Amino acid sequence: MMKTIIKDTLALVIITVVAGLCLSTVHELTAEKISAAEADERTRSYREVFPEASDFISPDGFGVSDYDLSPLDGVTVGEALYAVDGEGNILGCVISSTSANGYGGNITLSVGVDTSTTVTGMTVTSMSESPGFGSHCQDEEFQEQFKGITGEVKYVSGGKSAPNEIDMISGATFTSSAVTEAVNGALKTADELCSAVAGGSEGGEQR
Amino acid sequence: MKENTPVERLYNGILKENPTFVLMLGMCPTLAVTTSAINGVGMGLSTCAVLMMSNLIISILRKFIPDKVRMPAYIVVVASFVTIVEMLMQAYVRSVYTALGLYIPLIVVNCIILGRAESYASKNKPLASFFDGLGMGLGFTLALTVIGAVRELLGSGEIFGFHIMPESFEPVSIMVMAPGAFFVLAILTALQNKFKAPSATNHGDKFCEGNCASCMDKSCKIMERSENK
Amino acid sequence: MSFFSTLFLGIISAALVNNVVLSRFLGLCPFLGVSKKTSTAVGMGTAVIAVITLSSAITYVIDHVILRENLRYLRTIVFILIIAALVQTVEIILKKKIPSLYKALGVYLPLITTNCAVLGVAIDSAQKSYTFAETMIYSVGTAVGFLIAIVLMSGIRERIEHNDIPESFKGMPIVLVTAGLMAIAFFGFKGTIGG
Repeated sequence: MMKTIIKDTLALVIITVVAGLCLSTVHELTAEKISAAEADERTRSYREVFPEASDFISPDGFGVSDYDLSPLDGVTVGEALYAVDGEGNILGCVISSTSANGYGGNITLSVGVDTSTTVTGMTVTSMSESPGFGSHCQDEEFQEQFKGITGEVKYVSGGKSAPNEIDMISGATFTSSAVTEAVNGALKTADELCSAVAGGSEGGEQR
Repeated sequence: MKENTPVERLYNGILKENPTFVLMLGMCPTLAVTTSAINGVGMGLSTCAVLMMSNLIISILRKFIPDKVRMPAYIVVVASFVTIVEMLMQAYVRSVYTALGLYIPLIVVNCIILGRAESYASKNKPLASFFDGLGMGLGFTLALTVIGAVRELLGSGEIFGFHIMPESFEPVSIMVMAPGAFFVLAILTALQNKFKAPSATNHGDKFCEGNCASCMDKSCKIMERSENK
Repeated sequence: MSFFSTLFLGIISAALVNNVVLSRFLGLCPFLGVSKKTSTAVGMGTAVIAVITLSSAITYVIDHVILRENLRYLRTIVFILIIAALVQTVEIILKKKIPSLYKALGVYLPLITTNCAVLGVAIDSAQKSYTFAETMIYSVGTAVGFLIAIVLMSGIRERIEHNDIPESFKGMPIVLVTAGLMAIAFFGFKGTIGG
């Protein structure tokens, strides 16, 4: 009786240890590739939303959690970088922001904003909205609307009339609202970041 | 056809005992990720990879794994392969990885995998088990792709993202949402009943009565029995 | 928002708005398989509540104390083993200490290891980096949602039994149609929380 218990346990332990070793090997092999792919994905989307910039640098003194996004509930900023030209002059910033209020959960998007807090471009980088409805937030047509917007964005149905309005995706109120608030969160963040530059010191001494 | 040859195993998995249409196993991913054909393909192929490898390894280890602890041992093997597949997808096919999200780690609890390990790989030679996994995996992929394509076609008028339906077609949006999954599968099984096609729903005793709960129940009973010894 | 309104909204959202079975397709197998009678459905639902709550608490602690950043890739394998071990332990303890409860829930316990709702909740809350309180609200809410769905389903199935159903729809198809209609009904909860 005792002997079989020991034997069984031993067999299970061996299997688990071997499995663990295999996993850590694969992890070692893929970890670099994964983080490179993640970074690459982000940079690519940043280039898309801020084509003039040649590089993106992280601001000193700003942690991701420092941005005041209230009263936007459920919006978080994942990354905010300065967009710089070839000589290192700051042209604006790129922000990756997420709204948790989509129909299928999180919607993450990259937004480029120049120093006059005008949106230079927006791309939805990840979402799980209903295909055929909310999924249209990844359409060029929808994303183009955000270009050139200054100030708080609003979504309307049946034809936009003001410059800071966008046409919502028909049948997808949740998606439209989540995208809009994520863009607004990005604009708020950009405002803080860029005003730190306008104040004369790069990297922002005060907020 | 000769039993347990690679070709016979492929035929068995894809047609004769198709895991989705005939055995009705692994319903959760079947319904959850089939909002489009491409998602179905992605999920099917990842499950197929796990199924092949876990069947192969479990079959190789079948003499080594003690009977009493075989369930935890199978779970360890399956979970390892799922994690490996997950990491590889994260590194190389990110778009599929983000689309499937939570359902990738959940391949572990897909009853097809533990079911095949228990009912086939633990009793047969590695080569046959490998092809059994491949056949079952391809059958699963086929089923998910078909269901995904039907839902995508009706729900958004597209297949693999290409517009197929004429402009005048008004997409039946409910099909790509949660209820549509149930309806498509309901009609499918109703058709099988109608034409008396072999399916878990009308050959209850032969297969698993259409749910993995009862299927797992059998293996659990075996587990209990071996524990009480 | 005050603590209680957060708690309340969290549970409603997890139980009704994003119902595990009807909108996220987790735990579908027991939902279809063990819903023939209301009494068994209640037993299964209760057992799921117990296991989900316990396992989420344990996996949260393990995730934050042992796995953390470096071993994150071991999540799936560790979580499923914890769940399997937990289910076995609960079964043994119930059998020894509270035989009456074991009699009521015992048969459902082994089925829960492969219930993807349990693993799904654990991994989902780890991936979304919920705090401990959020994890608990989310898991209790999800489990309650499962209980609601399976009990409603069993009630409907008991009634359907004696109805005149088209021949080809007998058995699984009519159950799936019912589930689809329930999913539509649960759609109505969307939009009740937040704009």
